[in-house]
Amino acid sequence: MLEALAIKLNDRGYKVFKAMDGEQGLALANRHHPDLIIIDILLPKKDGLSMMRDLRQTVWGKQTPMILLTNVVADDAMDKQILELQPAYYLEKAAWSLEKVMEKVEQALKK
Amino acid sequence: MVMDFWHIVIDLGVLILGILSVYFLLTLKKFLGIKRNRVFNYALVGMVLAMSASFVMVYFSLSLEHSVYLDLHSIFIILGMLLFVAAIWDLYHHAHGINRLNFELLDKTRALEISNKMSEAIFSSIGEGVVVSDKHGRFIKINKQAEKLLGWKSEEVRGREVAALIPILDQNEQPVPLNKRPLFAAMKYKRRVSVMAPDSELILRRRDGSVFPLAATATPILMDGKIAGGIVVFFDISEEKAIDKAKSEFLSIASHQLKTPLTAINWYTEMLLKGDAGRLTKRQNEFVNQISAGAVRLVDLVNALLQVSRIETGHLKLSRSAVDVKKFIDACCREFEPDLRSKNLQLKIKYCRALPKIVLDQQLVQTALQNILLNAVKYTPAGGQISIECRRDGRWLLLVFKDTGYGIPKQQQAKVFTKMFRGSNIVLVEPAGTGLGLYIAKAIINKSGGDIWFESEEGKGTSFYIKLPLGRK
Repeated sequence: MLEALAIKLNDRGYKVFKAMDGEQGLALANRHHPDLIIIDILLPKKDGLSMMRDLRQTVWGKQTPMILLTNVVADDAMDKQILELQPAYYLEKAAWSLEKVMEKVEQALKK
Repeated sequence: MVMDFWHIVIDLGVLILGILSVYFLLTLKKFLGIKRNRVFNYALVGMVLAMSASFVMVYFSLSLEHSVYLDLHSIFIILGMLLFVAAIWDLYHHAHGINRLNFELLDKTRALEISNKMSEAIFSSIGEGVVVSDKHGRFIKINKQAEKLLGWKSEEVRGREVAALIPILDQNEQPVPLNKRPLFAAMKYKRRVSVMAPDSELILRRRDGSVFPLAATATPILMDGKIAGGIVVFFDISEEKAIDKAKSEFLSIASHQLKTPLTAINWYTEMLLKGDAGRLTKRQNEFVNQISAGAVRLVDLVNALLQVSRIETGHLKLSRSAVDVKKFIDACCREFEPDLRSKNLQLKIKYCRALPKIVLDQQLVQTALQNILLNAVKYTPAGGQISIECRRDGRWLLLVFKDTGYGIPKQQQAKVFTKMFRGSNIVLVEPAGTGLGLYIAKAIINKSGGDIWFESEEGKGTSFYIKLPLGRK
């Protein structure tokens, strides 16, 4: 799915940095300071919410738009955490077509 | 004269005998403990009078004809004797009655003793902890299980304050106010108060400082409508909490594991259909479309199963906000526009004027309404009509979804809101379907404080009525 998303984003002219786990994602984000970060919750090595939390503590990452794109069903406690991390969008992967995800990417970048 | 002398001797003898009898009867009465006995008293007085009359007769014995004197004298003696027997008879019955009462009293005392023993046995063998408190919230006694759970002995706590000895904490380990503690709430509001698993968020701190999650039911003890004390039955719900957590984790993991491969199928088929991997032939396009439709159905099924699982595990939680009714209903209908067009179905929506905003969980209630609308669209033959009417009914919002569809067979109508139900007539028309939509819809509507019911006639159509509370926060 990461690949499918990367292909679509590339096709639209975006430069994409792909990470296979949370630690790699955090390192890439801190190195390249992208305009938008799309994160899943369930990730190896470091989960998506911890990665977001770390990024939100950096000067750069405080305001960077982030989209949570996941199939994880959040419980009350997780919902609270997500709310605190202020993602631009919180989308359920299975419920969104690639086309609709692209629309949200564009909207998040305009925010 | 000789005869008169003997008469006087006999009369005196009878009189002494009478006095002795009265004394005997009174003593007997006292011995039996009979305080009031009217019949006995009348008999006693009668006997004294008869004897006295007999004695008075002696004075007239010389002036009366001998035979008349004898007759009268005999009558009074016989009368006296009869009254004596009557008094004895009456005493006997009284004594018998008292005896019976004594026996009954003994029986009742025995029954009470047995009942006490039974209560004591239940109290000590009951699997949950039980605390009995007086009206001031001081311990009267606790059972064995409570001793085990609290770390205190019954004799150690008697007379001491429950609140001081047994701290109850909230999730942040802060002490819970007295009126939020089940025992004190039950005594304050004079009704049973239950805090049950898995929703209970109370924590009990034992004597040794360790804690456990607590579920409890407290009942006030009322005497003539006034509080005399309270009983609280409580238990450790660590296991229930662990199971609940495991269920919740399972839900999350199962949903992720099922949906992730489905997302991959959806996205890649979408890319294939968009030509991202090159142009597809007509036949390839047709096959990929089938894969895509199947994947969409699977996502719907997974979502439905997850909803059912949430309902059954009590995880269906509402997140309410104020919603504009017209916008909300329009949004619910929008998704069905392609289906309505392809089946040439006419959808009419009628709103009453000045509908206030309604406070509800938008996402969940939308799922419920769309489940009903989906049935209407699926099970109304092409060219049919569907109407939605929204109106205010006091403090309720009433929604009526009416269709000219296949209807529900009368003998199956009682099962409509059960899981996996599908009408025998529609299975033939549309084999695909989970039979979960209305079950989920009802659970959501009920959870939202509303109600749902329907009227249906096979071959003519169905009307679903949904009532939702307005302005509930």
